[in-house]
Amino acid sequence: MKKVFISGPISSDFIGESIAKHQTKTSIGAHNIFLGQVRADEVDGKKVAAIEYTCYEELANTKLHEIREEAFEKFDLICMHIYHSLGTIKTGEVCFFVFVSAKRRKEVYAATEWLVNQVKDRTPIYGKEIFEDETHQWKVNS
Amino acid sequence: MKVTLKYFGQLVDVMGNHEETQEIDVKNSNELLEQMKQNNPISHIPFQLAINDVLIDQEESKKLNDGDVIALLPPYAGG
Repeated sequence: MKKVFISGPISSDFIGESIAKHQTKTSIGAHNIFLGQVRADEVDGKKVAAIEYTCYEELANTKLHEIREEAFEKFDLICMHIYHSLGTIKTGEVCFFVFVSAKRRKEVYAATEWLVNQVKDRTPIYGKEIFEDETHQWKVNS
Repeated sequence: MKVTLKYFGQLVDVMGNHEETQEIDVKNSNELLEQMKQNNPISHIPFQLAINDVLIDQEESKKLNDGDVIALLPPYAGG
């Protein structure tokens, strides 16, 4: 099973190294990347300072495995990686990283969008939006 | 029988913890849900159940066994 969950934010170094690791895979002609960043939403005059992510890891890993298998059936991909943060991620930091590689660009655009939606819809991940005044509300995906 | 209940999202706040072991006297998941809704203010929160890491259908009522792990999962909010 591929490791998806990362404790803390996803750093630019991590993203850069992930790209570099693919230089040996010379059948790849196109990469596409989606990065989700924690946004400083404002609710009733209060600003989000961070999101604390938790998940039901056993079920999440099963679902992510299914999504992965389906992605390879649906799209002509060479490889794909999904990473999601757990723990407290401050606004401006990256919490979600989807990286798709294929021979040509058409596949990677479609696959990335499909994967991002599937992870959001089917994986039991929760986000507690923590405001600057330390109150909180539970994130709802729109 | 003794079961482990796991709470996620908004349910953590309402139930006051992430996880607890409870002695229950019900036969199936529907009875457990009814009992939980009677004893806790959770009726306004939509959620799905997973038993031993497997999601069950909303309509389905599953037989419960000693040692089961039952997760209460509100709508997901990843990304």
